[in-house]
Amino acid sequence: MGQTGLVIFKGAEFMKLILCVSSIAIILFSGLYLYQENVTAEWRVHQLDYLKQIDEIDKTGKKHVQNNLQASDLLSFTIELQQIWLPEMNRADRCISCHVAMEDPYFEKFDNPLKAHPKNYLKTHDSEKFGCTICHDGQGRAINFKDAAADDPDVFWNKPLLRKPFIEANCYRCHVDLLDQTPDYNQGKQKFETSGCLGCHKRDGKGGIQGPEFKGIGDASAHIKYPEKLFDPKIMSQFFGNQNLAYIYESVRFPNAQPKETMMFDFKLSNEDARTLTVYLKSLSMHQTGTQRLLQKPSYPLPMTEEGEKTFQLYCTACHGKNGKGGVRNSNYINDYIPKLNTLSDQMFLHKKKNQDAVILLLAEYGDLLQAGSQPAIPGFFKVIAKYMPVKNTIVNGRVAEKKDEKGPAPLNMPVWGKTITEEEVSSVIAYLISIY
Amino acid sequence: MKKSQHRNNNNIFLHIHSDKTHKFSLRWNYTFGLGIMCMGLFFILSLSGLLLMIYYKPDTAKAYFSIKDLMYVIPSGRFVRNIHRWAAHLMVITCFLHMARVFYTSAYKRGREFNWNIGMVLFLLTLGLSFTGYLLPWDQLAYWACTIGVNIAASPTQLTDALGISAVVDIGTQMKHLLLGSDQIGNDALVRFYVLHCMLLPFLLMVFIGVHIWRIRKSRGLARPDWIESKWADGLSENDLVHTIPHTFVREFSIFMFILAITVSLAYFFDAPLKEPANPLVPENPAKAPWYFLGIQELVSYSGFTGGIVIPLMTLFGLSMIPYIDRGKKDFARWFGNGAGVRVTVTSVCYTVICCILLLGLSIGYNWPGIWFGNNRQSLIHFINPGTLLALMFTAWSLFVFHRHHSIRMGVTALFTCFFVGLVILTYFAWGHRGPNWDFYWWPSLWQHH
Amino acid sequence: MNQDISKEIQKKLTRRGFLGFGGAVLIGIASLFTFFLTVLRMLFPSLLPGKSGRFKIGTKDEFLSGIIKYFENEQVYVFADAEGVYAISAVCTHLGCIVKREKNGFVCPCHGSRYDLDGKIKQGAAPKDLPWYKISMLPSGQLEVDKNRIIKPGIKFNV
Repeated sequence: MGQTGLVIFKGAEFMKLILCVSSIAIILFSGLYLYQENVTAEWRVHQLDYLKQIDEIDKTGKKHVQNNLQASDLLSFTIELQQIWLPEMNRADRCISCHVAMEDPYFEKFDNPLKAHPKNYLKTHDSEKFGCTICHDGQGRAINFKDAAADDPDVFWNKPLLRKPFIEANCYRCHVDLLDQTPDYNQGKQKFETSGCLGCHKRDGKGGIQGPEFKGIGDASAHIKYPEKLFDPKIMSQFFGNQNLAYIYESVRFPNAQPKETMMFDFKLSNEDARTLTVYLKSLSMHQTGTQRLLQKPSYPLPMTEEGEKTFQLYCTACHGKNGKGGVRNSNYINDYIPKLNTLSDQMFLHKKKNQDAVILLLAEYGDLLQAGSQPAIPGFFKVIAKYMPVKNTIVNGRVAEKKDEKGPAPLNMPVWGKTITEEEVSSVIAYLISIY
Repeated sequence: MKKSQHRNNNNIFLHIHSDKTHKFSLRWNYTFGLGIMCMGLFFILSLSGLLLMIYYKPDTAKAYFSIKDLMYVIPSGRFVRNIHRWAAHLMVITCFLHMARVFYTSAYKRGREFNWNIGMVLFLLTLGLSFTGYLLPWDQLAYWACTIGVNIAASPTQLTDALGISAVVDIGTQMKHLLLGSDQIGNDALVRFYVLHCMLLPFLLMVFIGVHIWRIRKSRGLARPDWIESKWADGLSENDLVHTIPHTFVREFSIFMFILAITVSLAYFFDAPLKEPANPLVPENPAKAPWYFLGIQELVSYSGFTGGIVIPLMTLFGLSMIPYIDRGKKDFARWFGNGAGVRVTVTSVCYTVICCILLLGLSIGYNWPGIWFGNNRQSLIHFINPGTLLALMFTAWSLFVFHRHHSIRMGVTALFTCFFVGLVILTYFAWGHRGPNWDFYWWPSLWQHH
Repeated sequence: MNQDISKEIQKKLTRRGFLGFGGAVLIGIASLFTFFLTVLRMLFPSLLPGKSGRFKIGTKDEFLSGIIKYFENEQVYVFADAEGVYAISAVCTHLGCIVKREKNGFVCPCHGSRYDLDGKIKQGAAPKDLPWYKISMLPSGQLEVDKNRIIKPGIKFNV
């Protein structure tokens, strides 16, 4: 009988052990978790540091910069999590839990996170109304830096923190007109609009169709097209590991990187040009905060040739060269090079400047030269018209390029522009081309 | 029994349990406490789930961010969410192991047949709870896993299409509408899954747990072998009963604390995953179902209909029929019954491993179905694929074993073992060796993932 | 005889068993207690959702004597006089309607409660005076009203 008693207890000893070990484990890990969450939390450390700094200010007897007050007079500060609550934008920005000194001018020269916000952006962009992430991106709901910046690939957040100069792109979520404070963006936009990128790509629904549309290129899902490992680490490190920026930069600077069989020309851009273009392209996002978009300043109509130059630079430069000078190879095209256009006047029998100006005036007045009727003042006007018609037709209806080698690949064709640009813009381009002879 | 030896039955513990327990049932290496672990995990999940419900918001615009808030600013939110996640995974595992334990100890006989099927229902409810909960975070992982699950459920449409009767009877689409409330996974789906996960399924689970335990009491406690004086039962007699309180109570308490400790430790070290917010325009690649469905997903990758509907349903049907097929009265409540049971199990394991490696290797190496069915015979692929072939091979083996040992029990053991181990292997394979586009990879680190 | 022996063994088992397990069970209960405490604190949020109750009202220079400003989103009146700047809640203490400021006090349009210029209840169903909120100066020089801090009426902010 005693033996059977032992049987029970053999198992019992084991059970007792399990019970003790489990209980200790539960107490241990619960305690450790509480310690981690409440004692060693990053934000708490920073807030304590802030209070310490304020104490130092008091001790040295320094008066507060702006109002000659003791630092402690200003503060009714409790150590707690803080957030900016923005329900209309479905955001809650908790950056101020660590960046407590954001609006304290005394901390201007300190290092982050106890650094005051530079310049006077907060005066015009009240933090209570805007929060932080609408300009800086990042994960606003996080309360530690690693998750908030979201640079790491194992933090799954689509919009990592943007540093200078890429943060300039976000100004244009609301602003429409160019700002002085965004020089890189302005430079990038300028470069974009004078290099004829829209010859192959569409922006806001207007442009060519050879290349992908720019809709949403500023949003991170673009990075999903190309896996992380294929990015050159040198490129990734330039952008703090932001795959979206790296993707845009690489497409612009090294078009042959991926995919290898791309049709895009290599424009041999400099690093600086590529960076400013990246800033601009980053702003082409699907998500504009429409509610607060500011009105565009009214623009005044430009003279015909200037209008034409702008349109030409937007759509045509990439293939026909700057100022129509040509020089761009078109593989398997019968003439090898995409035609240069800066000899249009000559081809239209307008050798004298006064005739060129006269035709430009006609284009401005009538739009289509065919409507102008007879023009005795311009000698050989019928010949001008005869040349004008195929030129306009080529622009409006496009043209298939003849192959050099029948069995070879198709060369680049002249796209159909009639559906993208207005008749007025077509006339202005022709006017411009006449004027640049 | 003299009156003084009766405990009062005034507490709930002694209503769920008998006043006395047989010492045999208290051996930890008989049941390994798996049933208690399942139930303990259910308590943990209920408590953590209730706390999470206070903050979780079942709306597509808010769900993801409410989970972010739980992880960052709600006191102990991260801890409780992790507990919930790991307890859910553990519950599926312990449920599987509990079923295997009951099978291998033949504890489904002698009046316990019905309870085996109650257990099957509990198993399905557990999987349902896990699946419905998986969608709630509304991140990329959740959205695309749900897409796969729902497409598996809707795959009868493949059959009705092939038969040309979809205009009249379209079970697949009806199933989809039932689950999603729509054709796409959106807000309606989220709310339905929320209702299922938090109200209907837990309620059903509690009801069936009640029945399950009541059946144990009706059968006078856990299964015990006839020959309790045999060497295996360590010389215990039929009357070796002890008071439930304290003996059963402390053991059950210890098991519960054990599984709680495992859950808490896992919750401390590993965060429950949360990827980017759900984006219907950007599929995860590879889009994988929750791990307990990966085996089925592998089968589905061969054929949606046979892999997703036929084989699972037949497996479930077979499992529920086991107690009625194997009517032998021997080997009750003993691990592997007699020595032959061990041999059959071990050889079945080896057989399964070999078959799986063979078929998986052949299909990967020879690029199934490309070369096997060069001229693209759709319907043939449904019937001849690694999944169906494995099922046939297992059935053939079990028939062979049945014949050889002249024992239904042995045959059933072989069949159960083959399917169980086969599922484990396929699950592992789909987890570790399937990468983007469901291509074969030797290891996940070789994927080029973002 | 057998029964008696078995009874004794049963008893021994029970007492010994209980004492042997007792310590472990106590530790178990203690750990369960710790666990519940850790987990149930979820019920008490530390960072409350919604607006923080603190809002900026402008710089000191914007509040020269005689200025009255009403902040609609926060439902707070801010006054400036010779003694300083002070903020009074515009929410009637009766049932929560917004009071209107008149020449000699505040009037509630819902049930006619009247308060004097300092928010003290003069007549009507309102049970309490209109609370005064603490004003402090932020390091940037801006003034801030904190609706979470109620102060004694009469205390005005002055620099």
